[in-house]
Amino acid sequence: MPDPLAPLLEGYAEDRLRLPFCEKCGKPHLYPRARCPHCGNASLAWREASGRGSLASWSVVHRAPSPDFAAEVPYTVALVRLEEGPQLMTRVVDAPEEALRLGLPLTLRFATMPGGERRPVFAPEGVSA
Amino acid sequence: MSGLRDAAIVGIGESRLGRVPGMTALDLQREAAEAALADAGLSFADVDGLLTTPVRTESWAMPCGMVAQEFGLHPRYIATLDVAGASGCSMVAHAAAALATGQASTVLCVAGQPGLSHHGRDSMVKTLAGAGWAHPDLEAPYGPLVPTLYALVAQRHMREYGTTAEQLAEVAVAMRGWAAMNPNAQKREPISIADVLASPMVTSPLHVLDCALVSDGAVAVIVTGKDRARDLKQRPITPLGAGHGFSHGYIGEYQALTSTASADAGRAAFAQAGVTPGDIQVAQLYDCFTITVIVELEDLGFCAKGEGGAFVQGGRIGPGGALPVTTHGGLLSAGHPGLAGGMFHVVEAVRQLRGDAGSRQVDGAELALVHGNGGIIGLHCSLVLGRL
Ligand SMILES: [Zn+2]
Repeated sequence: MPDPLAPLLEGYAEDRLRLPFCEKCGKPHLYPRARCPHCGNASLAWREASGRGSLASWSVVHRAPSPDFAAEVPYTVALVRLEEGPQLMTRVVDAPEEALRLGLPLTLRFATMPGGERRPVFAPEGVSA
Repeated sequence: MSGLRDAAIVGIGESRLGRVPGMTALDLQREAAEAALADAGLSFADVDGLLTTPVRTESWAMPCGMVAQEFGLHPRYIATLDVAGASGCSMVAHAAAALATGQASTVLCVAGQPGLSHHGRDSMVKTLAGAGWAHPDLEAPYGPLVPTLYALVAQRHMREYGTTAEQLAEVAVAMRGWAAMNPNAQKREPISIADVLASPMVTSPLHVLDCALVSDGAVAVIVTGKDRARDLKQRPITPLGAGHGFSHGYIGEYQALTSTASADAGRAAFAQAGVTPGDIQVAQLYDCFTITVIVELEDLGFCAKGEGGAFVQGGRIGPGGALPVTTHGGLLSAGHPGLAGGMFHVVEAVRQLRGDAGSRQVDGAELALVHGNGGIIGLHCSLVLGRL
């Protein structure tokens, strides 16, 4: 069995956020699984996400979980609901905590995490990188 | 038909809790197991069933084997149970199932580890951060602490329902109020809502005092058949209902966030017991973070969804409150030695139902709910216990 995560992580390495859409029921899902969690179908087609989403929750981290993160605190870990429906963990960048609210419209960008991973992060709409 | 009611909790025991230097996991578990056996008037020779949990302070491939070997047991029923923080409640349900199916006559449930002495708080926080609670590829790279994963629930609850930081703090204050009356509790000095809010912010909206302790300790419970229980030292306490609930492995993909499968666990346990939340005099709710208690109060049916914050205000779940909750002081103030943490809630429920809880005794405690929560609020077990 191929790793169901591989297409997502390969996309991340190219600054692309692609979602697995079920070829039977048509719904996308995250986190990636070998079968569609909505209907159990195993054939999935990976398509580019719009990059638009809304803020579902967040937490500003003040204590680093490991020395890798010590230089970055405080940073905002967030849950973002993508326009297509699925939700993912990410960070919100370029936004003070006071500006955050549920449903805040966000747009995708990519950033390198302290461990070296290239990962999707989100910024408020209209804030340029 | 309920084979569950044919079981009885007949012995409870705690090791010293908090910072207990120089003790291995097995030392602590022995201290708890011997206390539970003495409480019941039994010895290791009477035990033919063993349940335990994994520990994070030893490199054990086979925890139940390590514990059986230490105690010189050759049980005909033996297992390592892991439903994360729900393990304490779940062990009682599994022990009753073993009795009902004739696989054992007396089951020792025991768990514990020297989490504080082995790791220290900072090291344990790092160990937990890397323990797989956050998805290794899709969450951990962003740098969440385990408390961050619960903070996401707390933040959403506050924004969605208007729950306040003061209301979260009420939970911590209540736990400390109970712990002050528990001689074995790790933290006993009183705290105020202002103290909680002034404690360092770990991961917003959770302060240090919104988060569980890291502790050394172990805990044990003896479950045997009702017939046998009548001849033992203590008033038997009966499991009347048990239920589990599961919703998600990783919080990142869980869109409901503030509504948990504790509702499923509670519904099943209450239905089997034939009682409702209104019949419960004391609720031992898993309190890894202050938000956990508020969400459980809602999902278990003690108040409506979104009203948990208002529910806990004014000392309502603390000493002298209308609904005494987690009366030993819980993970927030009594102690949290890993997967054993939630089993102290079981032990305290038994004490309350026996009428043995000393200065923290709840008057007229006849029915208790015990609830364990595991993972990132995704895995649950509820028990209804009664004085039958
Ligand atoms: Zn499908």
